[in-house]
Amino acid sequence: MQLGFTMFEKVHLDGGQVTNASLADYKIPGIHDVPPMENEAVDTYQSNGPFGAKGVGELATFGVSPAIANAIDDAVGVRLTELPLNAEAVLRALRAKDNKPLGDD
Amino acid sequence: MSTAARTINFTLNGRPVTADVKPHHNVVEFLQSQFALFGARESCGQGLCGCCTVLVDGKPVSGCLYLAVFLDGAEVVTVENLAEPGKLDLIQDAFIECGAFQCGYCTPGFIMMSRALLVQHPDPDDQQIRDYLTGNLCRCAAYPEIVNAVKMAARKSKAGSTGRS
Repeated sequence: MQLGFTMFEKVHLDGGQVTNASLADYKIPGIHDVPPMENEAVDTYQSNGPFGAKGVGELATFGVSPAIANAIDDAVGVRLTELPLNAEAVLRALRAKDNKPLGDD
Repeated sequence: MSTAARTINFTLNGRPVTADVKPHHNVVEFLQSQFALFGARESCGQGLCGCCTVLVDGKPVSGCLYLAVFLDGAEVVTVENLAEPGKLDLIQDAFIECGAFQCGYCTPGFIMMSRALLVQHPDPDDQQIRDYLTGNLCRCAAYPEIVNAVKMAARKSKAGSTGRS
């Protein structure tokens, strides 16, 4: 899910109206978009949770976007601070860095 | 266009049935309203997500786009079709065993598409599974587990057909 928010998903608005309100225009990750993943449990104690337990699930989304943003920074030297981190965003940031920013259309 | 209901006959999960259908009803509305089958769900309504997949004469179709009148004379199979009463089939079992879902909304569609896949490719590799299931979306992104489940079902089906358990 967070991979989708990070890489693809952008809500386009025109005067407050969503203009890509369908799965045809608002792409979410398909079976080819999700890479192999490994899970690693990190031991921790949540002081206000029952028996020190912490919620699972969407908690794991927090790390995805910063990890990919850091990877992009590491690879091409641009720091993206807005999602999604798609090819267009990277190109715009690279052009801005070279003082040749792209126009809006 | 006349909006009068038409009477159609078809086979639903192995049982011959007769029903009245309006010409504008799609398969999802039809199965839900006439047969109380809620396995095929409408999600995107545009044939993009695969949640409404049912098999018509063995071919997977998007129930949100397929008109119910076209079912006349066809053999229709939905996710409710079990191996035998009260017993899940290999694919349904494998999805549970592999944990191939979180919320489960897309699962009937994946199971129906996997049934069609295993008929065509009884021993699929990862790439074939991914290619075949590319039209099914899972918001929880349980894709790796789904691939495992399909492989498990293929293995079990092979083992079953050669007499091993």
